[in-house]
Amino acid sequence: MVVDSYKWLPYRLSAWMQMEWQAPGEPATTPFTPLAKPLNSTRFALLTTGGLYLKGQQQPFDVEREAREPDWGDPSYRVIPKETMLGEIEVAHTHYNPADAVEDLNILLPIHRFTELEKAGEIGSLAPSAYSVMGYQGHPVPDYTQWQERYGPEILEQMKAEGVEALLLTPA
Amino acid sequence: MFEEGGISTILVTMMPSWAEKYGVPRAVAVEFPFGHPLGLPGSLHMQTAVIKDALKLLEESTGPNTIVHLEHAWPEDETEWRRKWQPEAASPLIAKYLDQIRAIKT
Repeated sequence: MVVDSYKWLPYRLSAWMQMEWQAPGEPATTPFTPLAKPLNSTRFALLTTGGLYLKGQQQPFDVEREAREPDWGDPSYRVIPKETMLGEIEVAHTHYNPADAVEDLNILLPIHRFTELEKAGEIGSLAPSAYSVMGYQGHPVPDYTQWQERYGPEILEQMKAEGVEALLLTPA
Repeated sequence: MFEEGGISTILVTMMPSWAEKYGVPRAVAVEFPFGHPLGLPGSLHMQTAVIKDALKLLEESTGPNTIVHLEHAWPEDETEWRRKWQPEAASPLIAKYLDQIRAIKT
């Protein structure tokens, strides 16, 4: 089958997105690092753009500023430990209904599924830290400056420190 | 960011047309509502099935811009879900540009 990217969107909204949304410049080449080892000896990390954070322990993403400045999106990130249980997650994201993600974080950040795959010997391991950002980064051109200069390198550094070799990316 | 840093990435996307347009190391595409790249809450079998498809592509892909469209069908009513995935209130962005969006001719 061919997945329809606009299947779930109202007609006018999808037309508007295709007309008005822009990329922040296209890379000359797409980078590619081949998987170095078999899955069953590879160490994984997870990253979602779903706006997840630890309820009562972490600051929500700044949706109040986004309400005042609709063309801006919070560029910061939260570290979600792999021991996080159901019921410990909250979501700050204005662009989708987060009820299902709050109920089961695994639909966006599958720490429990990867722990099961680790126990079953299908992957090497899941690193201690998973990561959450809030994907909306502004309009009409997303502003990735903070991501590229600060938050991305910080996350990469932590992944390298935890021996991460592969990363599952799950947008909301 | 991550591939240059020596980490192999696999993306699960609901919008493969954007992945094709802007380039991506590897991606599996699912025709699931937004906010649900791995399926429904509590549906362990569905979540694991998509993850295993993603891991398979991660292991097999040999070059960038490899995008595989998965066959998983959304198990619930599609008409209902066209509304259900959306936030209860329009996002600030959509609210700001609502007149512009509504002016588009169908």
